[in-house]
Amino acid sequence: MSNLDSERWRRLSGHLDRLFELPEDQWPGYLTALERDDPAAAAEVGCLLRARQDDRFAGFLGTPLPLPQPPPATTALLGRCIGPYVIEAEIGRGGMGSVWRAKRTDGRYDASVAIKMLHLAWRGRAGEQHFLLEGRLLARLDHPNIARLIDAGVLEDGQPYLVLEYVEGRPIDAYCAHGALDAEARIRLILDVTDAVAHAHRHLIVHRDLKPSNVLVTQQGTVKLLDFGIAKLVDASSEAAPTRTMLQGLTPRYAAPEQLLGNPVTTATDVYALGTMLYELLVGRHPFAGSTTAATDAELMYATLTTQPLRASVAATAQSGRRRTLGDLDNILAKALEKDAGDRYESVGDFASDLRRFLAHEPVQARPYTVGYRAVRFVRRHRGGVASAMLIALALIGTSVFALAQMLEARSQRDYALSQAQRAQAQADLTEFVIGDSLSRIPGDLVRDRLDRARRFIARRYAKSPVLAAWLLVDVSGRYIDIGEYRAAAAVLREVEAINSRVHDPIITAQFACDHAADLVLAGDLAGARTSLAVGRENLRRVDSPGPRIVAACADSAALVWQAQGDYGQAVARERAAQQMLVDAGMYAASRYTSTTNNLGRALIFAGDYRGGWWVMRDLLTLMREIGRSDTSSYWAMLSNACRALVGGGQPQQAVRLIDQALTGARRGDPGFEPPFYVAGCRAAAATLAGDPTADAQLVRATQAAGAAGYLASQTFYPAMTVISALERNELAAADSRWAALASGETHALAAGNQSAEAVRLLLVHARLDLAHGRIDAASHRLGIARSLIAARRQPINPDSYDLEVLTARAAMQNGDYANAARYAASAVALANAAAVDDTSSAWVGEALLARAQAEKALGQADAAAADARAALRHLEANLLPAQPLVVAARAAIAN
Amino acid sequence: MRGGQAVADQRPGTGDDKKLFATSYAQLRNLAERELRRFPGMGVSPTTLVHEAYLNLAGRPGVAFEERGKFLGYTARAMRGLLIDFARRQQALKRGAGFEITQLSTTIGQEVADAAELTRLSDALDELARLDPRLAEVVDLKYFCGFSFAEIARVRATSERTVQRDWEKARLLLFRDLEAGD
Repeated sequence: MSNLDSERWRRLSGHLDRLFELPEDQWPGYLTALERDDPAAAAEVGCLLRARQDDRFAGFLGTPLPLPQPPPATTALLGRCIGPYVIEAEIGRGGMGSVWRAKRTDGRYDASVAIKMLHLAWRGRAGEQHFLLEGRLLARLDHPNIARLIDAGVLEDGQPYLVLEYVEGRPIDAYCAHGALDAEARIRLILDVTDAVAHAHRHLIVHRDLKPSNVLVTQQGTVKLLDFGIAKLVDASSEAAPTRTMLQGLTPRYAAPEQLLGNPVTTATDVYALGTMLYELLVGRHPFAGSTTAATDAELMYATLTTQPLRASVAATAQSGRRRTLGDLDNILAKALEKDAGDRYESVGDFASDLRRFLAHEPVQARPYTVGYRAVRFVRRHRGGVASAMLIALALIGTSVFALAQMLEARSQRDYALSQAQRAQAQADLTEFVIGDSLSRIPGDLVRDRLDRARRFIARRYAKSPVLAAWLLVDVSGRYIDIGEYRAAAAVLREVEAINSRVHDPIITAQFACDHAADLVLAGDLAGARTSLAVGRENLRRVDSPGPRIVAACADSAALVWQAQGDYGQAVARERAAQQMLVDAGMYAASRYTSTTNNLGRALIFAGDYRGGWWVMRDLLTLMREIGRSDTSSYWAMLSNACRALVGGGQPQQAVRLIDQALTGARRGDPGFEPPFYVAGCRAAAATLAGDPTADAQLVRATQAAGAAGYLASQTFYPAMTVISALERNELAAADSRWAALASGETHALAAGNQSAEAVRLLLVHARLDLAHGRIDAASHRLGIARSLIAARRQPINPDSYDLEVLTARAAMQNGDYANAARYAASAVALANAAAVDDTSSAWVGEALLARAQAEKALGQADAAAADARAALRHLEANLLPAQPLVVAARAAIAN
Repeated sequence: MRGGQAVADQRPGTGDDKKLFATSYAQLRNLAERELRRFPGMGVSPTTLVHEAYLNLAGRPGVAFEERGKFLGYTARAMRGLLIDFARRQQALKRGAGFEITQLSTTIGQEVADAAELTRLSDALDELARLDPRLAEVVDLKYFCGFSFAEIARVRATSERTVQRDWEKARLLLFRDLEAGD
């Protein structure tokens, strides 16, 4: 065809049309005439028609292509005798084989039976004996609500079969819908099912595949369970690999999390399926179906593993406008649907008892749970399993991550008005979940290669949907950051920016504006940051429901701005709100969640709430390790924040150990590993404060590195630490020369009326230096200014307040003002207690207690002084090195 | 296993076209998977799937296909992609790759169209579509969706005879194209 252009083809096509209208014996005449008028066309037509002489042409495309189909139902079994039964008709086909109706031939009774021919594949080569044995066990189940297994056998050709009680009825869901049963009647039907299941469980037989099509209700309203134990029977005799077994014959819609993860199946698995069925019967949709549209199996599997079901009452209200379930029933369903088998009802009987209590209006045993928390815990614990189950699920439905994203895109167009944001987020989340977490255990090179390819793929594939491409690229840049490829990440973001300059997507614009605001804060341009943040907010307002990811991103930036303005309380509040938003959205593993949580921890530390900061950071580090991101650069940043929390919270030795432990781990994989300067810096600061004189060199190096990196947040922190380090070692000259580098900063900060931590911190360091020199008046003057600056900030807990009180106490002490020294020391004790990571063990509580003990001693309160000194020593010894000056002083105070 | 996106990748056309194709494809695929799962061993007719997809999509608010014919064009093209993907997947399964929960894997001894052949045919069809889209569409509807000449004629509001002529022309061009490649 490549040699044809449309103009020429139109002419040829016309000739062919005319030819086809003629009887074939007139064709040569037509062609001869054509040859005279238009020899080229005639040659071409002749050439095309030559195909008709080819033998294969007659049948070419003759039979429409069928969908790949299983072989036609065999009729060979009809009329055949199997034992005393003769096969009458095929009545169905299911996942495991075909089902036939049969009658007894010996006339002993008339009843029909159902004969199930299992796929040969189900029975392994060695499985025949096992199959028969299991079949005999199952035949012992005798319960009015269980379709009996009458016999099990193997035909001569090796075909395994089961003879079952023949049941005529409707699947339970169809039965309920047909009879328009009310909620109570539906619960009572499920109670009949639970009786049958409990009976089987007493015989140690688990159904494993409970679903509406296996629960029939006869015309008389009798429940009959089909296929009891058959899943086990075929599974136990299968030789297939575990992953195959785990998913073959599984009904994803009703599978419990443990089944999806390939973990052992117990009676609790049946409880879960019963819960799912009851939920569907009451609410009208699957507990994890989320929106009103039917979800695909992959989406359901994903939700089953990672989210908490919508409370039945809420779902029912949203669905039908009628509130059919009440709080107690919500709790019962939630308990039956717990992800961890151990959290569910201990037995089907317990589940049934609670349902009966509910119907009788008695208090039920199921308690309300903390929404979201359980799912978080489950996902954390089964991280790897969840990821691999998802990958298998993706393979199963014959699709890839991107195809799934595309599917979701198609869906989101369909549901646009309804849930655009939700879909987009699900898509981004899923992409991140799979490419993020599944790749994090793979060597960096491979990941980078994959990401490079993903980048090209996105550019090619989504050239026509730039917004989607931009979003996918944002995710890709996040993954690059995870593996430390900042340059690549930045390049990808530039691509996104270029795309956005054409499409002006409000959310992408907001993302850039808010990220930019954060950069500006770090660069010290507070006014620019505020403007950029306003642009971000303005764009967010243009979108109906922008989704938690972007809202959280902007809240993060807003928190940074507040922090830079010195309003730490506001910063903490913003970060908390952002974190909560992400938790509510179920995004516990998203990098946005981990970075927001890190920012929350940092905000708490800046606010002086070291205890709160430490708890947040400790949990976050655990999460990072559990999701396999402990070798990322963000992990090291988090580690340095945890270190800061421990130092501020009075446990510098603990901080040193935390970092050293992480370093040992990292160096096991890479002997030459060097941590980022902020980690080395915090370790050095911690070691210095703990009394390790060798840490000074490391501190100086980290300070230089911080300066070289333009790391503004540490502009005062590290240089100030070097001054303190010199003072700790009593090297006054060194302290003076180190201070010289900071002195102009102090003047600037004060001149600018800057109320941020910077001015206060510099004043406090200067006062410390003054006190070391014995310049008590100068110190007192500076402390006074610092006090008024801190007071202007009105912060609940303040990171600098403790230093201020301790130094003021020390100044008063040196001035001979013991009463005030005792007063300020007491205030320092209270502040140190409040901020301590552990108020029974904090170097700073110890320091303050020691100061108070010294003041009390000078005031002649010997008993109080002795008690404080002993307590001080306990606090100090636990957290500082034995030779640290405070420890030495505390020992001396006790000895005297 | 990744045939779906490979085929979708090659889709020419505007952004809207792509979206419609993607929507049709996902729809057909879901329907096919569902039917195969629900009635293993019963077989699924592509014609039924296309009809069902039409009912599902056309009845949905916000989806405004100007005319039934245009919709069918997209769906038929999507169906072609789906059949090729299925053929590829089945070949992959025969080689032992991949997992399967539908019954596809148990179809033994069934005639399976060769995926490579189908892909060549598909490429040739794409080229034909550039030359004369109506011809390519007839092939999609007839060969891949199993529609009769009468049905296609009804949809196109034309005569059965015209459809037959288009079909013959398409076969001639495709046959020559595929043979030339041999």
